[in-house]
Amino acid sequence: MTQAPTVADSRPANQLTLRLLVILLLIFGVVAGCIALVAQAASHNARRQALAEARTYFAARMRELDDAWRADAFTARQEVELWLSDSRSLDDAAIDDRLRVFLTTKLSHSEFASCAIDDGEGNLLFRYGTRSQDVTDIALERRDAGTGWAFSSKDRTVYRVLSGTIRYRRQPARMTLYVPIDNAVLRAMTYPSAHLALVHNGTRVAFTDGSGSTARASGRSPKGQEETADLSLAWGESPVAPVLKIDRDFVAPLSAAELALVMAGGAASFVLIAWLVLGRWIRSQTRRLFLLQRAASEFSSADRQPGDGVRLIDPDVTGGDDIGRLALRLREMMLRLDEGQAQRARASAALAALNASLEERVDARTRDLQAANEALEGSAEVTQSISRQLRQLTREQQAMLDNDLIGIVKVRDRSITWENRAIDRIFGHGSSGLIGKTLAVLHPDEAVDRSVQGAADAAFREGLSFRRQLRMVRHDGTLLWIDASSVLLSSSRVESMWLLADITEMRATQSELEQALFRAESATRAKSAFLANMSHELRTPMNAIIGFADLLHQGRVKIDEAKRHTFLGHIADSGRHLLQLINDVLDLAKAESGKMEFRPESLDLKRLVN
Amino acid sequence: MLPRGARAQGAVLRDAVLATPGPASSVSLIPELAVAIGADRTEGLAVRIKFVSGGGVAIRELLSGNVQFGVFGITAAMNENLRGDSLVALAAVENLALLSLMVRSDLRPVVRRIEDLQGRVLGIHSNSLATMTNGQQFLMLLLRQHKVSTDSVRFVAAGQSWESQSSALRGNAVDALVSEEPFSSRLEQAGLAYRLFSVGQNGESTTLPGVGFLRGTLIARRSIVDAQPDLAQRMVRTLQQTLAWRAAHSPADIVSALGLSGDEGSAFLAMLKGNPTQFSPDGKFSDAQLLQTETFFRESLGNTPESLRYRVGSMLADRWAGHKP
Repeated sequence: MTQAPTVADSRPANQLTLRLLVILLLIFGVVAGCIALVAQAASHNARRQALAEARTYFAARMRELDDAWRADAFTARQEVELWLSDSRSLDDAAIDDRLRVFLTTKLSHSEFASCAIDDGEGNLLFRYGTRSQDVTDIALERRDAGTGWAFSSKDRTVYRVLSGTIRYRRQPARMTLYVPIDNAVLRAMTYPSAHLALVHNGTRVAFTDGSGSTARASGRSPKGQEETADLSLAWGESPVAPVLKIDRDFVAPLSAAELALVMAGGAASFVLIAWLVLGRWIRSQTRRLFLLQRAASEFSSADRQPGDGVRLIDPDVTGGDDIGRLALRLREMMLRLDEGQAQRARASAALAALNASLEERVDARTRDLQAANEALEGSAEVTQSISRQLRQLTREQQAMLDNDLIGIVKVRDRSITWENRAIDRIFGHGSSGLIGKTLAVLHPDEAVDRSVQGAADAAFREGLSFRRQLRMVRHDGTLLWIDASSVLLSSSRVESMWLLADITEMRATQSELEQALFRAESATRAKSAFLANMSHELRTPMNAIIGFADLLHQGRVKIDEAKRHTFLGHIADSGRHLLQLINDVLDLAKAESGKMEFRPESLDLKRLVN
Repeated sequence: MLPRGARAQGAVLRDAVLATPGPASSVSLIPELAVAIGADRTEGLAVRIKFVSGGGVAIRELLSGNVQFGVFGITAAMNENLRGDSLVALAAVENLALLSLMVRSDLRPVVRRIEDLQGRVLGIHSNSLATMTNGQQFLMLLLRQHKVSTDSVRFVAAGQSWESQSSALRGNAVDALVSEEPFSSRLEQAGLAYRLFSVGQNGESTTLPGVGFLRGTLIARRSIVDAQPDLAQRMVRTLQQTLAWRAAHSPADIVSALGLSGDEGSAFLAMLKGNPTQFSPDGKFSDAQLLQTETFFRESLGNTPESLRYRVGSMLADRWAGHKP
């Protein structure tokens, strides 16, 4: 017996649900991985491009600053020359005083922090600036080239050194100006999301942070979604030039951790929604599939009982969707198979019963046959008598077929296969002249043939015989009236027998009779019409006679003699007219009966015509 | 010298850069002394002093991020804050502004009053459109008080060091200049200039409004104090220790500690001996002095609406230095 699915039975359904969820998660994971890779590639490209832009910008900015400082140093030397142009009469101390006055303003309003003048051989002549910018602590590079670098260990400051020749104290001298590459300079190199540091011999000597904090010394950003890229650019081509380190912050749309978090959240939401929204459906579908599977399994089991498996396909399983249609088809198939099996079982049972009774019947039949055989053997004379009767009957039938009045033909598949002798007499095609031909040769034209065949076929299809009087044609072209009747001998072989009686003479006689009848009927109708007219002709004078006679006889009307005479005159005229009519009728009767006698008399033709 | 504190021994010192006009000026004395006596290292700091030519430059260094602290006149910082409240005062350093208007010696016969300066070239600490130093404010107030129009004189920068000021006078680049002790005394001793007007000298009282204003003050950017309060606190403690050390030692010890000698040392010694209350003993802000400071600030700016609205209390960060009446 089939049982309803139990909790244990739902295990495959749960496994299927689990597999579906795992597949969904795998798909989600692959998509998420692709998104992550694309995002990472995009972020990497953006970062690389931003770094290239930053490199270009800072390289140009350093060149601009260098150019500006050179120009300022040149201007400052020119201004010093001008400032000291009338100092020939002054002693050196006075010249130095004047120069200090100039530099006090100049250094306050330029990038230069200090100024030194030497004799070109390194012997210091003049220095102005704050005490901390001690020139002895500064190592100059390429002083003779006009530009170089210096570092003050006391100030921990890198200086851009710009030298040029002036006349000082009435002799050529070299004036050197010092530009501190400090935080202010780096701050002037404004660039978005960039933190700058100037590194000299591995030591950070300036930075744009400005706080003095070392929090950003590592260049790492505290924020998770930000990434920092380090970029180092040497300030010029000198090997002792400081290096500008740029920490470029990149705020990625999503950091790897955030992306992973979002993906995990998305996956969790996806699974939750799938479980809440699709889980029920999936479980329902899997249960239906499972029931179908069980139904098929039970149906195919060796020890199944009728109805096993079919009962599992309940209305919950069937439905309008694919699974439902599959279930319905499976159910129908099972039912048909069950029915087939039942029929086979019934047939087997009947066959067994038949087999069981067959021997008895065979025995009984054998006995009957033996008895009949014995009886037949005992009545050989009866058999001979029957044979004779059959032969007699056959001869009579052949005589009937060979009659000379009605033509008979057998037609198979529209071809005439047999004819009797009367056919040759009626149609004149010779003995067996129509064998192999169709009945079309007997019809006046093909249209008649088609019509007759169609009518005959229609009658045969309804199980009726065909009979019709037809115009047919003899071999010599003479038209005949034939009374044709046909019966279907075999529907499978389309075999029919046609009886063709020549009624040409009968139809002629019939036609003459019809014409005679028509003439008699016409005469009768003429007499009737004559009598109808005559009755009126007779009554009119009769009424006049009777009317005038009554008036005269009853005396109700007082009339004078003249009028009486007139009345009698009317009666006499009407009587004569009536007599003439009667004579005419009698003449007609005579004429009809052939007793009219004609006598020659003279008459006035003119009067007759008028 | 201060004994090395346990905290400083073996510990990594934290860099702190301080800008102040100098060197060897009255306003730079305490920072220089702090480094000299090792007060910074006691607090775990390695203070580097960046000398500048005036308070205006110091402000520029602060705002540019080159330095974290500055010691200069608080009224210069107040003037800067009129354009944006970016600076705060952490501790009082110098109570007296030993400012003098020094006139070139050869002009003694003709310049006897402030009014006689009309048409003259006057030297100020720095000549900038953007900044105004304490000495410049002092000079403006003085001229306004004596009805000398600023259009009738010409200003040039003479710096805030002995070198620049003496050179300006010797080279006849200026007829008079604002100077501060000990440079004014040295200029006088060198015969380069004479004192036409002075404030705060040896208890001298004048009719100048707000003459008792707070001079040298520990200044920092507000963002630095907010971001690194520990650094600001250590700097305040460093200066407080130094102020206490100065109060406990003789002028000679101070000059010796600074390594000053010659005319420079003598001038410093004279200044310290003549003005024992010049420096704050504890770094605390005084309400009375702040009131004087606001008065001086407003008067020096001609009582402009901006200066009248401004309150020095808005820029005080005195949670470490403290307050007193």
